[in-house]
Amino acid sequence: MSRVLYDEATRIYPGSTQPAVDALDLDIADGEFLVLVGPSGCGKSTSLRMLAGLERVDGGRIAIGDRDVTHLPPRDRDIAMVFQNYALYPHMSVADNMGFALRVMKVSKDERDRRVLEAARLLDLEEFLDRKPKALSGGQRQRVAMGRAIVREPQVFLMDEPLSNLDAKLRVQTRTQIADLQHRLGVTTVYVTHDQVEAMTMGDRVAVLKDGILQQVDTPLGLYQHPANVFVAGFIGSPSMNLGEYRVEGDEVVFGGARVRLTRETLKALKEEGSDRVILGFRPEDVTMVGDGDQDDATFLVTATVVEELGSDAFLYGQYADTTDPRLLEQTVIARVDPNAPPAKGDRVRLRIVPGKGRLFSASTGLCLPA
Amino acid sequence: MTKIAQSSPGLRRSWPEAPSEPRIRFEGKMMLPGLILLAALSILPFLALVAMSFSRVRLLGGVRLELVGLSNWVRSFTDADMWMSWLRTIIYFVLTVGLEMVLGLGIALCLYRVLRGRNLLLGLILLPMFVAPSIVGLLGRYLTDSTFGLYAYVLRSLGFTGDILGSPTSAFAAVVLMDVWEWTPLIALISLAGLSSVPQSVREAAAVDGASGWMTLRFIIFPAISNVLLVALLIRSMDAIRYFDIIWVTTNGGPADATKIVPIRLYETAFRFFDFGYAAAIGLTMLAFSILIARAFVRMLDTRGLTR
Ligand SMILES: Nc1ncnc2c1ncn2[C@@H]1O[C@H](COP(=O)(O)OP(=O)(O)O)[C@@H](O)[C@H]1O
Ligand SMILES: [Mg+2]
Repeated sequence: MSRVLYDEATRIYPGSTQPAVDALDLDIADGEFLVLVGPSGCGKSTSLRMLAGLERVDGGRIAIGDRDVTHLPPRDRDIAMVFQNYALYPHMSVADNMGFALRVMKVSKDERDRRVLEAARLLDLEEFLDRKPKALSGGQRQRVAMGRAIVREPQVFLMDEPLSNLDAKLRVQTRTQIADLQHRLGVTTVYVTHDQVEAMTMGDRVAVLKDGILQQVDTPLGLYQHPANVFVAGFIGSPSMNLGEYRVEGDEVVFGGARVRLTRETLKALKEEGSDRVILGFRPEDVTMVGDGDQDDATFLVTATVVEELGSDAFLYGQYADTTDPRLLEQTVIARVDPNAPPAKGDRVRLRIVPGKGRLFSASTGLCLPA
Repeated sequence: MTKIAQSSPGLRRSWPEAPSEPRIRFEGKMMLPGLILLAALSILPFLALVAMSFSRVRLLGGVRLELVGLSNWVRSFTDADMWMSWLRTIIYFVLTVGLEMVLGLGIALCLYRVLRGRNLLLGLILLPMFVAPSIVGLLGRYLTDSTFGLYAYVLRSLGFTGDILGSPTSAFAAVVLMDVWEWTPLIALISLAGLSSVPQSVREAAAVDGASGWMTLRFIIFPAISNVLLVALLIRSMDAIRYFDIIWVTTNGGPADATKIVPIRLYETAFRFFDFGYAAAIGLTMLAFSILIARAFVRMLDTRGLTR
């Protein structure tokens, strides 16, 4: 159990000029569950593999506990890893798979059996201990891979999309099991996923990566409520945040027939930037439907093209109705509506952003502007 | 074979009226052309061979078989020269196949480490395999010739003065090495294919689990490719038992019978002394021996569940 530190860690694959991971700075506390999330190809696996010692570190350094492990081989790092395809040893039984690391460490047979059995109990694998991996289901294999990591009692758990080969239902179950297990064992864990829901539900903190560059690290709620930039805003949350670039006229942003006042701080920041455009974002749940009587400048009309009813929730997907701007017409507006009285497809609905819930981002840098 | 034997009782149990009978007859008809071809090519010659092994074969004035009972067989099992040939065959077999496996695997492990230019290197290493065995023999004879051979020259400068193919031990070593030279690449190729089939992530898992290079090899890689190695061993073994070409071209079984392994003796018996009855008995013994070895391998593969 240890703190993990990435200090400007960089990886440039041979033959490419762009770093796959670019000066990654991350400080992961002892016992913390940190999730690395981002779209495919953003460098999550590379970051994890650098920590595991499976990928060279071309710049910066990595420390586990107070040991600099930047140039240590994997076997000297005292880490355990769960691979995306599990990477079980095909010719070994489940028990041997789980006990292999202990055997390598020359742990006595009794002690080994005891620890394997203990882990097997924890993961409900007792009856499979004598089977070969190929005689197991996907979910069981996944648990064996977890077991192999647990038996080690390592300083850090590394997991690279361990759930991506499971079906949707099992994925949700296993998700909570892993989070629970990690909590009980208290081992520092770095978990990689491309699924933001997984990230939000499992992580103590979540680090969002894009193109090898760390965008933001925060608690799930922190990311959701205070995204640092447009990318994080759009990536976190489902359905995702409505984002659009609009014109600023005077002290108001104009979109879809609505005019919303900007705060003094925002205007100041815009002025410093010298821009008359801004990116406005609002989450689907941060709009309210207003009756025709309540209409004012800050409301806008939307034609519902799809209404998704999920029982506990209903989401309206629509288009701005009150505009001729082709760029606006292309945009889809998503809004959560009352599931008990959802509008019908084709209805025109008047919406308003809940005051204080709109997020503004710089049109040039994408960074969040002060509100 | 075993599959049919196992499944037909099951079929009968589920359909008591046995509708499978006509189907088998149909299958039989469909197999007929193949069976006829097989009979013409191997079953009839085989039966003729069996008949010959119990006879003396007269060639003059038309081929005639004269039954002599077990005498050919008795002779083949009491002939001390024959036993020596068997001993040599076994030594030859163990040395060539053993060396080829060790060297081939070693080369494959080295090649696997090479990332850039692996295919080019592999192509070069495979070259000996594409040379016809008798050419390998001629090449060997040329290289070991005591007057102008390169190896002879090298050995002479190292203090070995004799004729390489002229003295028993060195001749035997020479033909073994020629065979190793030709067939090690095959083992390397097969082993490399086996190595490449071990997923990268499994090696990485072993590395993360703390295994050193040797341990990964010993506990992860070898068990994973053992099946492939077994198949390679099978292929080479079948070949080594009946090995002929190189020895025939280089030493012709000499000097002083030092390289006279069973196939050479068989050829000699049949086509030099025209003792076809005795040759048939030797040939059948060789056949039985190969079948025995093949069975052993197949049994090994079977217990690993690989024949299905
Ligand atoms: N072995 C490699 N050689 C060269 N480029 C690689 C290699 N592995 C990954 N990459 C590149 O590095 C980037 C990050 O990859 P990766 O870390 O696997 O992404 P992720 O796990 O987030 O999907 C990708 O653009 C990918 O193409
Ligand atoms: Mg990945």
